[in-house]
Amino acid sequence: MAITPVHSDPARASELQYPPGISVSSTDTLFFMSGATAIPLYHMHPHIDEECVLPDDIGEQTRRILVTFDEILKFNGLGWRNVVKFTQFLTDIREHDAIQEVIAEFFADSDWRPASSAVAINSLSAPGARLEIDVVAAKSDD
Amino acid sequence: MTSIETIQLDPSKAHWLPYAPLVKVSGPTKLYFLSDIGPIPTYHRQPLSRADAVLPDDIREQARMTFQNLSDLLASHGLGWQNVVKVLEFLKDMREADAVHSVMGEFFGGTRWFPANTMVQVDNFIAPGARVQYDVIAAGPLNP
Repeated sequence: MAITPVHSDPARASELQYPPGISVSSTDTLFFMSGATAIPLYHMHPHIDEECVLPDDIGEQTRRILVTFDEILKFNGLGWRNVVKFTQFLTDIREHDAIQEVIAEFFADSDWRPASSAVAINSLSAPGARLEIDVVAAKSDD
Repeated sequence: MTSIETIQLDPSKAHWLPYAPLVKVSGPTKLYFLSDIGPIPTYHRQPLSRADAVLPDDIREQARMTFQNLSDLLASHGLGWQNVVKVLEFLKDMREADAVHSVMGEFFGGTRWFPANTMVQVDNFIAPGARVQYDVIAAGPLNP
């Protein structure tokens, strides 16, 4: 396995406290999913109001997001055990605990938990959305 | 063989989305996790000097500088936009999303490639005056 810094101008590497990138080699199959809010996976762009009518309840918004990912996973022959990373974007960090409770429901059948990070942000693209999650999943061929 | 493909759960609605709902990368692959890319030069003195971060206020111009920086970094490793599998897009003002995406189209529209995308609005970036920043994952052949 090769883990290598990515430089476009190696002569100037010393100027940066970090490299512009890191490359790694992989033989696993990886699935990079776009961030999903509680609105339908397929929705019009620009967003139309009718598709962005969301329940105020954060638990229900979380459940809709995870149902979307459940469909994406199943469509690809995957399950929650294949999820390696969650990134959670919250408009109100105080809702973090309520969100984790719903996530736990989806993992109730196994002891698997993906890596996860959560941050509070100012705003999401869908009006009324209070949570966006993006997911990386993986399938090992061996 | 490295394979990078868009997966559509409902192909009849694929044209609704200006991004891929998900991108599947399979086969022996080299993955590139890039540091943040914005309108300031990729190589800059750290701590950041204000002289290196004099930015135009115009979001379209900042988007052009950002996509040029990204293109240059990708090209240095024989990669292009069609190798970008995931972008995390940070905007200072969500109302500028359409302008940023229209510049993205000018830069990369010819490739007809859409990565998976997550977009959020944040308070601030390291560079004073910056309005856009990208976090990018790319994939290419194992032995380029």
